[in-house]
Amino acid sequence: MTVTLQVVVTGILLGLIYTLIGAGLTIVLGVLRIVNLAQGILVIIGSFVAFDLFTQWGIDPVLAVLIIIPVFFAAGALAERVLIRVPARESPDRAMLVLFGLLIVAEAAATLAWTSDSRSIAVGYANQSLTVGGVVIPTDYLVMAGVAVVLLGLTEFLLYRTLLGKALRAVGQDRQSAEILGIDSAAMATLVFGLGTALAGAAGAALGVLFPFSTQLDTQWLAYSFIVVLIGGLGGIRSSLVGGLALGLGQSVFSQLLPLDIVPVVVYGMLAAALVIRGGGLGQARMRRI
Amino acid sequence: MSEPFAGPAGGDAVAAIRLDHVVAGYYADQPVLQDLCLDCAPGRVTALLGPNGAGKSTALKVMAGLLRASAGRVLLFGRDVTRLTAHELARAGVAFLPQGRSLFPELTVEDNLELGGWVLDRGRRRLAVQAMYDRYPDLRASRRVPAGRLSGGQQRLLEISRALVADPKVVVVDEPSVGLSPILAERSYQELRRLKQEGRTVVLVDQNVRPAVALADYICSLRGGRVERAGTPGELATDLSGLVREWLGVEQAGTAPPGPPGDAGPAMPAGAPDGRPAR
Repeated sequence: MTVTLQVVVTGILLGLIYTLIGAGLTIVLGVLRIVNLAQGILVIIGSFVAFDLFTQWGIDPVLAVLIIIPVFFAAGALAERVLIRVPARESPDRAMLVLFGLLIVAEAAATLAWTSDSRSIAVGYANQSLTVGGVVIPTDYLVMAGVAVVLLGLTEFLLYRTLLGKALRAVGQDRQSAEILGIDSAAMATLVFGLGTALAGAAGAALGVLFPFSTQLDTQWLAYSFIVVLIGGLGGIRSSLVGGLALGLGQSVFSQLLPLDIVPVVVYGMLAAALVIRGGGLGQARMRRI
Repeated sequence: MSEPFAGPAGGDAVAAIRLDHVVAGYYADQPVLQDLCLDCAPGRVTALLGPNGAGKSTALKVMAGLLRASAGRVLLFGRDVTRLTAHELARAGVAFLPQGRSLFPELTVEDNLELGGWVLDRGRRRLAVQAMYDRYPDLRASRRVPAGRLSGGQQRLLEISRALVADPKVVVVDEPSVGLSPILAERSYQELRRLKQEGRTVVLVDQNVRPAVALADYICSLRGGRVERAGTPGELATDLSGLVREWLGVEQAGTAPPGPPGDAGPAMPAGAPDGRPAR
């Protein structure tokens, strides 16, 4: 019973962090209809930046998130202006191809900067745990899930409670109608891409504490964010939460039941299943409204 | 032609919107508007009529900033707005009611209205939204309902009221009655009459010639991207039925130049055989 509870709690905490990587993808998909193939490498770069901040200046990854968010936001906004805006005017698929190119360049650049070695962020509370009613909760999971909850809550608040967020969603639903009301849809695109990038970077800092990472691991996080988006189905941050929790719980349960080597196979099986069940796959995902 | 407006540009009074030798289209080598000169009088209703592919909707898109003129100038109350985008024109006081649905279906009625006041500051926006609820009490009752779930008639009212939240000086309307039942179409014209009474400048494109002529102060018939005839309904009354017959002939012969996707459909429904003013 305790083991089951343990697995569930860990799965939920992990799921909240996975929701964060899905949320960045969801926002960009929902407003711009662009599949951000660079999402995974952005997560990895977030992990490395958090690693550097921790090892060189002793900045805790939780605080690193506060640095990563504005810096990644600015970088994402700049990338939208310089690289994505023009192809996106042609079609979202053109923009996706540009992002694929960006992914390759960014992966190579990251390998140059940080080598292809695997790293991990050894925070002081990594091996500590909290025991509540016999259930052992790893502190690092708890802290990073807390970071994820705060960021998801702020994103949800922005999108659904502020006029700016409503304008962002309006651009996603009908760009021309938004324009004729005076909403600068190009500025909204910049904002959304910055936001998606910032969320990916923050997720990277959180994941870097929990799992070892290397510059080749970006496709794994990209696949995970697809799983979150696809399982969550049509909708905004809340449906990402469904996808994220399903993935977190799935991984947690399978890790308990199956040999560790098999777990990734099963997780990717979830991606395949989600693609099949969701019919149109990512094309379908692009129909989402947030 | 005694009237300075709704004709080739050049009258003395400042037009609300002046298209001055405008060339515009969707493909570089196929301009839909060819050297179009057109004045829309301030505080009046100007109806653009003409056969399919004449460039009526294209002219509206240029006025709303959704399509940029490749040559010529667009003047808004004398100010050159040729290079402004749609959102900049919205700030400058131009509202556009496009053909077909333009609401944000997943956003609530109130969200849609608030976004209509995007260009206003918070205090004025709140007052303007309340004023719209006073104007259309039905909308207040369904303020928390997603716009996509409203009935067709309510959606149309919401579209109109959303366009009015920012108190635009110029309202550009493309096909106010297309796809609506006769009752809803009449409601739509009723709202346009109200805009006219409020002293707003209205520019209207309508396949439904009879109500458009009844509403308009000035009529401008376009063909092949140019102004063919212009004047008051009284001046054009004798010519209109002949013109409408000609337009239908143009379409049946299939000689109309290629228009934008939104221009499809008959120029005039069978219900208005002569196109004369209905008054």
